[in-house]
Amino acid sequence: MIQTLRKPDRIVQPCGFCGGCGHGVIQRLIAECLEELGISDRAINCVDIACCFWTLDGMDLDGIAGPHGRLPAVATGIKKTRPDDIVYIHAGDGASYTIGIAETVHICLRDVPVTMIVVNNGVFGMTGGQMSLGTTLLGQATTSTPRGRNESSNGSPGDFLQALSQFDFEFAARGALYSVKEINRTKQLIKKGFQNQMEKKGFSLIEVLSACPTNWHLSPVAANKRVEEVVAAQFPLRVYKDRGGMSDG
Amino acid sequence: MAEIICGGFGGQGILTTGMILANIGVDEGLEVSWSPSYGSEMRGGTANCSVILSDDEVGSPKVTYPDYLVVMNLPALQKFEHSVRDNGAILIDSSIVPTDRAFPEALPVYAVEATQLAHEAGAPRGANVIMLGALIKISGLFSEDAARRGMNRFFERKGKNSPGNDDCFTLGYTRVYRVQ
Amino acid sequence: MAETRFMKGNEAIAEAAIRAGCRFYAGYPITPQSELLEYMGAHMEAAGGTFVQGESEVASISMVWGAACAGNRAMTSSSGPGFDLKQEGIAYLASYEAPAVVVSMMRYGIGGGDITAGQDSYLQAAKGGGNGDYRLLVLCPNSVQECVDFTYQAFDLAEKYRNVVLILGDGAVGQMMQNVVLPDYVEPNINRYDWVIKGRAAGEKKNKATNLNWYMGDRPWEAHIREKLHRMQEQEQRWESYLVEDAELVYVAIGVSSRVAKQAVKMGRAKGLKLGLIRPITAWPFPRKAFEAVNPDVKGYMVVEMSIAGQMLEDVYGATQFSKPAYCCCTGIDIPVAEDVLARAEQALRGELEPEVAL
Repeated sequence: MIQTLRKPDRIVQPCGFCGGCGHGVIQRLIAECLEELGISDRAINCVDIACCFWTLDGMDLDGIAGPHGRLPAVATGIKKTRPDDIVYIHAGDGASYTIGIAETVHICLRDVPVTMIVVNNGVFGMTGGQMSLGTTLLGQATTSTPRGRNESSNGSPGDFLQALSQFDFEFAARGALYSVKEINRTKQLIKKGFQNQMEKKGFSLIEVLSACPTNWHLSPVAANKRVEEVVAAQFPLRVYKDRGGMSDG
Repeated sequence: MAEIICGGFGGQGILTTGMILANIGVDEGLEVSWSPSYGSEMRGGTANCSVILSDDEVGSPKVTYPDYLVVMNLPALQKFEHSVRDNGAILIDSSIVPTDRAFPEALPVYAVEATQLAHEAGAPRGANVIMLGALIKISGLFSEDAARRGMNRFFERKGKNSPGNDDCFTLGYTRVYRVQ
Repeated sequence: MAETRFMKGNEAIAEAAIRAGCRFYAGYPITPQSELLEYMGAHMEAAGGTFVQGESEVASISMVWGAACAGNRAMTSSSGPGFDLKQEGIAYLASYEAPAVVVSMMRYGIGGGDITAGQDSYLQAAKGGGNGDYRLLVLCPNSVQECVDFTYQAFDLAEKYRNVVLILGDGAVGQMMQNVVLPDYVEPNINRYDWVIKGRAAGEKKNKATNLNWYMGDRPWEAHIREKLHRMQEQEQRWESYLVEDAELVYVAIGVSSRVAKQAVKMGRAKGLKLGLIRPITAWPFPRKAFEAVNPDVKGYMVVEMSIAGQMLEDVYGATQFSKPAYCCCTGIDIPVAEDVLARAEQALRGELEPEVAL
């Protein structure tokens, strides 16, 4: 059967992301899920500042931006006000695991029925590719660790998804975008996060390993290969927790 | 009309003595404020509150020069006894504060064995109401009837009304005596 | 018959907010305003609203940013160093002109300071504190009844101007108990304004809660903000004047200090001293109009304030365009005492005080 791919309804602007960046793919997956689940009319887009910010205008939804790292709190305020709306967060790893880790921990603890998508590309993309304390790998060169991240002065990255999944909330899983298979799997994870919200279940956290070719100084193909071979080895692609019983993989 | 400081250890209920007094004032149509001490004011082991009962708008909610000083421990007495106004008076719980000491010379000093009487009456938490009864007696701030009515209304709102309150009030009202 | 209750200032603010239709509160405990948070924790749910004890002040104001943009009547409260942490979120609210009510019950000191009453956050409150050229409409209650009345009005004012309203009290006003008359309940409607964010159908115009200049254009946005601030400056100056028409010296004070200053005026008048008081009810906009009614031959002004170097002083000089000397009666950690405030005025009138230099 021949399927014609078309742009999801709620994407209204060409995305301004760099070539090979995962943000645009994620935006598209979100828009497809909203459309397929029939919840576009109820969705509110909560974006962190930094690169995800571009989806504020890219998506034909009401949206809200920043402050940096505070989106779990912002989304809590919105969801408590409009419990029937579908509230999702599109944020980076720096926002979610570093400056905003307190907010991320507490939305897990409060189990607020919000869908949070964390784009883990291991760097601070918007500000020029500095180290992201939670996710930049040891040895990885960034603009703030030009000779590579070293453990003695910068500490080591950690698997925040695994750490957070000990708390009592609905769903935690990690996906990636380096192949069609992984993109489709990631879409199912995001869709699951939205379904949980539709079913008035608790908080869903989906981390997506994403490439940042610009700041990694790699071609899009090489960058995606790095995600597959290096990053995914450090941050496993799996479902960490699912109260509803979604099977791994 | 009158400015009162009530002081003692935390847990003696002395802040409630002030609070009941303030509520009586409200019922009697006065301008009233009640303010607790907190933070560095509480250093030295006293919890105290300021109560102002006035016919006119209340100024500072904090009493600096009280007309009546009502204390249930020695530190509170020592902290405030020299600020009492010339025409004021001191009331102490003499089961806790010694009476054989030098008080500011010109002031009348009254005492009631509040804590001891409360224990004997089987109402150890009622010492603060005994202090209230004694204060009403020595000060005449309110008539006995008005004071009892206001006190009972206060406890009713808290859901803690009981005849024991009236009994404690009576103990204070009848057993207070002048030391100086 | 109107309901009356004997309440603390902090509790009165919380109760008034609920009655005004506030249905979202987030806050973090800090003395001397924790009773406000506790009261919300005890009563907000019964009113059908949401109470969140935030993981920080930063998170709490961010929740308010979300709730307010979603159309809720939202509030947070803090004091001193906690109010510092609110500044980020307050600036975000200002960037979208989202209305919300913030409460600061000021405490003493610098940095952590002390938990006792103070009035050291005046400049931060009146002049801003977060990033950018915005102002808050700052209401300064000096009694428990005003805690009720100003909080109740604050939500309407915030929405009228699409501006954050700050209730600027102090620990002494927050802790004192008085008898108050409580207003009727208002039921909020989260869809009453077209700027709220919510789920919307395709084709409907969408709202983006972020810096408005990106959608209005920089110059039109700047003009719009300027116009709004000037309009508020013109229309919202509020104050209480007491015996200023013939006064030789006029106290200027807010909050607990204004209560004491008024007492000092009465004591002074009883001795034949012509004292007066201007009590700014709005710290911003500062009530410059109040100074027009003052005796033109007034010898000077005296700021009575629980601060170190005199924060409101520059506003007094601004209002009088430096035409009269101004003095300070700064009592720091202590609540001013009427006798001392009076003595300070007498010193000034005898020429024994140098006019204070605004820093």
